[in-house]
Amino acid sequence: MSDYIYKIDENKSIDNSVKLLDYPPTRFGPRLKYKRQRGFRARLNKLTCSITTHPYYTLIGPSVQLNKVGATVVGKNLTFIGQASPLIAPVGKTITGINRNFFSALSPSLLKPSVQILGLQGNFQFHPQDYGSVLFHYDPNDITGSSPGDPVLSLLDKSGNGWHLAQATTTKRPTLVVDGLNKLLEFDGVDDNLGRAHNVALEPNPMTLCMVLTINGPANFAQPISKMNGSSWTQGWGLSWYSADNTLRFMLDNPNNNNARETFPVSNKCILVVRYNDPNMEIWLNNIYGISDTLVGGYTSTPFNSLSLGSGNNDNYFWKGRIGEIVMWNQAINDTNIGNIFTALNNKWNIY
Amino acid sequence: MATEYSNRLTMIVPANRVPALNAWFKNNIDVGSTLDNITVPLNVSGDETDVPSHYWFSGVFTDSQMDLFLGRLIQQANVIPPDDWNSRSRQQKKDWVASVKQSVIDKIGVRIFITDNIDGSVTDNLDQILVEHGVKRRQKPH
Repeated sequence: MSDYIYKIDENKSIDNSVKLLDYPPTRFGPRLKYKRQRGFRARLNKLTCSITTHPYYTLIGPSVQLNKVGATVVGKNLTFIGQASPLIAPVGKTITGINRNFFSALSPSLLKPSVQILGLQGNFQFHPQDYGSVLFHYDPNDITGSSPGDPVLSLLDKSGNGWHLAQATTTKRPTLVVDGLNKLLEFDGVDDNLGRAHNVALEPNPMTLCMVLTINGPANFAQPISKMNGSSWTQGWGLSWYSADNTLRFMLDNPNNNNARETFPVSNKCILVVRYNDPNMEIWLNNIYGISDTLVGGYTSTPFNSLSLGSGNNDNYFWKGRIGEIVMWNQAINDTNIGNIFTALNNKWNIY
Repeated sequence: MATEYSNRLTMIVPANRVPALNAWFKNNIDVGSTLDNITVPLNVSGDETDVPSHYWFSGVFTDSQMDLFLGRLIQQANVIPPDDWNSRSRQQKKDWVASVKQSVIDKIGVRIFITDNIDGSVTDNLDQILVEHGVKRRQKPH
């Protein structure tokens, strides 16, 4: 199960994403409702409750509705604790193990009921269009019909712009891995990548890019994503890990003179955001601001090089590690929303 | 459901054997494909301006694909497989391949590693494999 555990109390906000509101008490007690904040929406996988005083209550959430003792759980699992064995109601099924006597035993008073939410486990969805204009958006969670270990043929662009990625050669496909509630692609560092043909639209200026990724350490250089020219790196944009100083670099045109960089911990899953807003090149890793750089006058378009995920563009600089969600906005996202992006992605991917 | 691609094969191949092996892949694994499977060059210096001496690749295979490949390798290296090959378990086959690894290197210069692919994780120590074979990734100095 997920590690997304939030300790919350009645009527208190638990984080930026889910807020528990008090509704006017009914005859039998308060009504509670989850409010979804702008930026992402909660999809509850499991809700853990302890009913401390009263058998009758209403709990309305985005996917859970429980009207009374023994009620039907709509949408997701609901677990009652406080008994010898927690009772878990499967989706759409009726909880049968809880009765009035159970609640009466907890508290004989029926005058002032309360419901305490002890834990919440959810898979939070990330909606990048809430922050700006999305150029492409890839999420391995969307891959269906594949088992962990299967080679992955393609990664669909869910922005609606059609910038899908694919790998035609069987042995060069990354494999699917599962990490908690999420799926990632594992690139072998030898020859795995996904790509698509060049289009100048894939070289936005300005731009903001976010990625969820890990690296397991090939020597020298490795690129998780690249829209640069081959191994020369004199045109286009890309990211590169450099083992000599253990940094991840955001590069435009030239890896030595034009790069923003930050130390990148090997084997740890990270959220990376980079932003180019002429002339500023900036990088954040797990919401920590790195070393910025400047590039005046924009970067040079590659005339034909493909967009490559998991390597450079010339059968080189292969990435050994995992890549999760990736979003490119064709605008410079402001600082406030970059903070919101980190919050949303961290809630979804449970990274730091 | 567990993956059918339960084997990961990583291999370093001398440059002069790559065309034939790529042709074999097109005829047996990526049937109908015009794309090469083995394309990533290596050499002793690690400088991309120097000619590649070897190529390498890594991919996941089903048991039947792996049997097919090992059959080809055995034939090329003229290594005699055990009589009970077809009834051997995957682990037994892996152990046997490991036992003849040096013989295959000596005869055809191909270095082969087979590991389990259970959940997609790649655990091979790739840099160590390269060191053992005395070659490096070809990269441009930056």
